[in-house]
Amino acid sequence: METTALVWIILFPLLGAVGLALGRNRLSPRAIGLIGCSTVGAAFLVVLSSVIQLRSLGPGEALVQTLFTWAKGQGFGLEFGLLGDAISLWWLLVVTGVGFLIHIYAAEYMASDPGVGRFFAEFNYFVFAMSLLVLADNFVGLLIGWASVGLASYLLIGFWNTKPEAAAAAKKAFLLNAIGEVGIILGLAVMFSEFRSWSYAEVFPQVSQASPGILTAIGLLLLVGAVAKSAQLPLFTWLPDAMQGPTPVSALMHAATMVTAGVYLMARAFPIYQASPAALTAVAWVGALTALFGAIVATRQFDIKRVLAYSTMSQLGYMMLGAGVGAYTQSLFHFFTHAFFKALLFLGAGMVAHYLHGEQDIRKMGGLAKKQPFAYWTFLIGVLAIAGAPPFAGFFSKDEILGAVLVQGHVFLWLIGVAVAGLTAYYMVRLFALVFAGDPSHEHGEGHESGAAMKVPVGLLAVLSAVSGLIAVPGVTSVPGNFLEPAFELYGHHVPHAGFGWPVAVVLLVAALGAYAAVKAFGPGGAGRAAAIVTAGAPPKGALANGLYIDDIYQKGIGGLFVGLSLAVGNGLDPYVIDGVVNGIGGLVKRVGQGVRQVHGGYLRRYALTVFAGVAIFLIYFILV
Amino acid sequence: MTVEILQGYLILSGILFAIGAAGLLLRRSPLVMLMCVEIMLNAANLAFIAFARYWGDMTGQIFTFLVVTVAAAEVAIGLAIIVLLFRHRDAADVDDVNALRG
Amino acid sequence: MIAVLWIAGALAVAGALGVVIAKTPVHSVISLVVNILALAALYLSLHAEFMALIQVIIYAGAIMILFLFVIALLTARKDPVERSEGKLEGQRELGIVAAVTGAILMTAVALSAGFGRPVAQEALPSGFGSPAAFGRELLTTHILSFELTAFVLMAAVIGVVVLVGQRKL
Repeated sequence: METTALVWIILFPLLGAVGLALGRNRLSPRAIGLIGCSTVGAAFLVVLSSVIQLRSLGPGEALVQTLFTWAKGQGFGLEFGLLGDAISLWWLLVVTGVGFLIHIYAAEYMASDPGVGRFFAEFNYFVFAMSLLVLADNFVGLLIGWASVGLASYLLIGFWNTKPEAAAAAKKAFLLNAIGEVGIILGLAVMFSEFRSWSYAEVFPQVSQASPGILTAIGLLLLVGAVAKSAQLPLFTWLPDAMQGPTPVSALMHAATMVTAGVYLMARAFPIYQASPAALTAVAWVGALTALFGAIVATRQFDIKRVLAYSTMSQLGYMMLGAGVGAYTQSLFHFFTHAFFKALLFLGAGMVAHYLHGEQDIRKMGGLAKKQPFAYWTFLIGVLAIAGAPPFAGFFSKDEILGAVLVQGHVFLWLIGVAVAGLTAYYMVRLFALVFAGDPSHEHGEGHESGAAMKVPVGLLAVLSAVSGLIAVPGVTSVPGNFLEPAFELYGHHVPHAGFGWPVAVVLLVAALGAYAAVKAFGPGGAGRAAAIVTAGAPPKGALANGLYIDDIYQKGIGGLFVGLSLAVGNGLDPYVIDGVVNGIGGLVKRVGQGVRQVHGGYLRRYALTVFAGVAIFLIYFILV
Repeated sequence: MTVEILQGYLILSGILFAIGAAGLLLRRSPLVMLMCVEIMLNAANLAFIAFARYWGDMTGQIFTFLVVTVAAAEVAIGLAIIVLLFRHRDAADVDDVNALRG
Repeated sequence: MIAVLWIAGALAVAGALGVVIAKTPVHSVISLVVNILALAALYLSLHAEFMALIQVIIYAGAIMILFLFVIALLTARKDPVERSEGKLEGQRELGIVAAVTGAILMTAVALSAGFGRPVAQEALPSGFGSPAAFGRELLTTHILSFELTAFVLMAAVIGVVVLVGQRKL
């Protein structure tokens, strides 16, 4: 076994988090930003060296590093180690790479915030948690990372903890993710009862001997976790609210960490899903429906970050759809490109909001193209990439997924995917037109220009969004396939591929139609634009704009049920039944004690009487028996 | 010696014991209480000696002798404690002495 | 034998009751002496000559004198105790009930238990209860108990000296 430095990928951000947490009140904002960025940058360098090291190994081999024995029992042991195979390193490239760029951006974006030290400590912790999730060589380590990511998201969504909405959003994210964690824990319990292990290397080879029912149960329970983490239907409601956090948090959460963990889990546990067609189908349908739902809802949003949030949901649906048809390479490739353009869009949105002193309502924007040329051009690249315009990144990754869906024979899922592509183009162009095109709909006053530390990462991400798709042009280049597929073939799965063909033309046509419709409605002088601007400031109306009221159903239905239950317990059960029992026991003891006190008063004659009574009892016993 | 006579002695022993116990429970003078303890010991001794005669076994008498010895020791210690009580607390009433309470 | 039992028994009971009832400790001591002498008579009737002697010499002679000394030392110049009611509620009633119940129960035990066969007057070993027989029995069969008694007495002596010996504090 070769020596590896995998552990440093985890340790650098962890050290940064601890150090920043300890020094958050002593260090200057500049030093805090420097430390926060450098730890993630160092982790990124370790990832790069690990990737090079992995390339030097044979196909199917992986970097491993056993850290310590965590638990030891009768016929059972849990070695805690790190696994650096193609899947996890692919993920870490994005986590640390894009994470690094977002850290740089945040160093300026957050510099004037009084809580910048806390922010970077939590930011580094976020990267640490995600790296742990991805690097663990067993499901328990994954779960620990999973929960840590949930904690980090809670801390960061509620970063502005004096804002009630932020605190509520953080709680919601944490609670919905807890549902997912319960699902995973149950899945791990079933897994252990079947395989007697949680280690990837021990579980996956045994999958072929397990019964399909057990595998389906494990797959569906893990899917619950993935649904919660990746904001899929029906546990998505936390994601739009999570926009309450600072913009870099949204960017990090949507691009690099957190929401993609669900897709990672699907890809990591692929032997289980490949052995269980039912679970696989469930994954595909959850993904497709979420993609459609997110895209539809996004068309009706007016908050720039909420549009992007629903768009993330929709794109994650694509990734789940890809995983659900066995097209893991494409799914992971889409994750890769999505990280770039979604981070780009969020950071661009952050620049816009920064310029407009925190305004996020797109109906109050417009005409920013001239005032913010840098944001305009980079955002345009992001929009083109996510809308799937060739040759930008989203075109290749999305079309690969849709091609694989069709190759696998899921025509209906393919049709949903195509519709989503059209909707995506529509709502992204709508967003872009309302923000940048035409004349300003409201007076903005003099804006707040972004500095170099914000522009450089955005520019880099724009370049990556533009060109990163070129590493997987069908028939020409196949970097993701070459890199990733040995890891999937290790357990006998061959990823389906589709080349260029008429389906690509269909997707492009639908997307172009969507974009055209958006330009027509929301371009300068469009009817939809005028209608939207009139309602500026008001919350969006209608079932679609409000996410089919699913959030309200949760809040008023389930939440109301628990509130009612709690009130009943608090006003009825607790003061009367519980307190009654407790006080009753207390009173009983008190009364018994008062009685017993008479016996034990220190008076010799009472003791003598007691002894004599005891003698009498013995005599009675003697006579009777 | 018949069983009936033995039973007479035993009943007498029981009555004496009960009287001694009654004195222990009712009187508050430590001196009198100590005397009542002596009555109770003597009542037990009577039963021992009656059984010794009944079964023709000297062991009962030996045991009585031992009881008398222990009673002498007990009286010595008990009187010493009473002297101390009087000296330190001027207590003539055991109800005034409740230091046994924890 | 029965006559002795009745007469001496009545005296013993009267003495015991006198101890309990007497107002002053000196009267209690005198009643206790009566009780002890009556018991000595009962011992004689039970062929326990040595124990009767011991009863008279040690109890009536030594222990009672000790009581009298202490009474003389402590209470001669004091009013009798129990001028007031005791502090314990219901102790008098409960004590009487307990004592009567105890007496009834012990009588019941004496009447109900089986005691085996008695040894006839003629079958008693010669010198049963005499000092010679008693001494032989004590110093052969029960020598260990005898020695342990010595320790008990030693401990009592040391205890008394420690408790009431005059010390400079």
